Amino acid sequence: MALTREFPLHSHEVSHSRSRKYWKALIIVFALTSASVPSVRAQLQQPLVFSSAGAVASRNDQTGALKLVSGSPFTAANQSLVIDVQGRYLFALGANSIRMFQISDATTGAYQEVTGSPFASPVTNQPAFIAVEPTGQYIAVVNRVGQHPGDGLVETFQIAPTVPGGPALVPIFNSTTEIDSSPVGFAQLPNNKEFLIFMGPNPQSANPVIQQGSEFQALSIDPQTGFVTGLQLNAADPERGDSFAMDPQGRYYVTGTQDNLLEFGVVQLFGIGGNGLAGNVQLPAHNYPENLWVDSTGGPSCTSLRRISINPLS
Amino acid sequence: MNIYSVNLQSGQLTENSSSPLPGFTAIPGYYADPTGSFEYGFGSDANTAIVYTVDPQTGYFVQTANSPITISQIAGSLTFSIPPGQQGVSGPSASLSAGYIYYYSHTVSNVRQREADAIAADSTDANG
Repeated sequence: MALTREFPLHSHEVSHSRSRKYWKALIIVFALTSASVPSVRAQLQQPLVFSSAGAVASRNDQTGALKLVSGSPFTAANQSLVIDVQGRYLFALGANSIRMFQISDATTGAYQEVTGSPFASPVTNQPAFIAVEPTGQYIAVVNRVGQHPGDGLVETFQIAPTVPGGPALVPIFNSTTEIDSSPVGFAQLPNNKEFLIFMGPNPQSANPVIQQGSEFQALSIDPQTGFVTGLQLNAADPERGDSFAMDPQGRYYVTGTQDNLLEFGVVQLFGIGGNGLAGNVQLPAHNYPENLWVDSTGGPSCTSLRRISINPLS
Repeated sequence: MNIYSVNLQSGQLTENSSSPLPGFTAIPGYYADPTGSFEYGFGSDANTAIVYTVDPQTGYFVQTANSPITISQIAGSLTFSIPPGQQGVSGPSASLSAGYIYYYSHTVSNVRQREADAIAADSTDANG
């Protein structure tokens, strides 16, 4: 799947001098970018699938077939694994901590837990999701429990390959970002630039909108500072947040909510990045979207259909 | 468990005539390969993976011919790696086609917003 489009959204005529300026600017920006941000390439040599139970298999994306790799199974993380964008590490949720595994063979995906794992900061509390960013320098951890009643919290860690004692996760000082409620769903965009959080109600909040409502946030990790960016203030919605799912190819996400007055459910679809894609289905009274699931089939055309499956039982 | 189709041009959600999904009373514990057209589930033991596609007309799961597959300790939460070269990029980038070079910027906070200009490959004229 190509994650970057190979065609322009708009284009126009450019003069000789202007084209030279463009090239100069492009070269300068490339040079600055390459000097300040590490090169980003997934270093795993073949498509792999990692199971939380310890198995690693190569996969054939034409047929769907899986094939056991040499040495598998490895240590069971017993939680979903998150792959470092440079293919060096795997991360998994631990007990109020984050476990870190080093991939020792980029062909087979063989891995082992690093010395010193698991890692945590003083505010790591019921971690529920791990997000990465495109340069591979940092991860963000979404905690179900924040520092205020009913809140959640996002914090970041630096991936430190060469600290004494071996690779480690180092908490970024002052990176904690309080979010208005505890999340009900998360997703990382396939290009790793943003991660999405959909939150349910927080009855303990001082904000009356979120007390029975929901909130959606699209956050990023600043690759220069490691801080979380993109938090929208006053983003709460009065509809109760029930469920969340994202298209595996990252083109849209779906939320399930309950109308708090008339008690009907709504399944709503949004384009990612505010591109205008939006639609919804209203479910019969007393039917609430408890869970959402989106499949991954189809080609790159935006005219093809995607199917979502919805459990309306509450 | 209901099935809805998504029209990615209009955003319209429509319940499919094949809905509800027969044989399921809850969301299946399947994992979608984000780079392919396959969904992965498990058999009754910890060592059996079952591969499905989704019928584009009905939305029903269809087991592939090479399924099931025996792999020790596969039954768990699955994570899929992205093949080299298909990783997303950040910042300015360029791509080549037969007659043009396109360059554009990727905005970290909004993947849908990007601008592009096209330059003819011979640099004597430029248009898009």
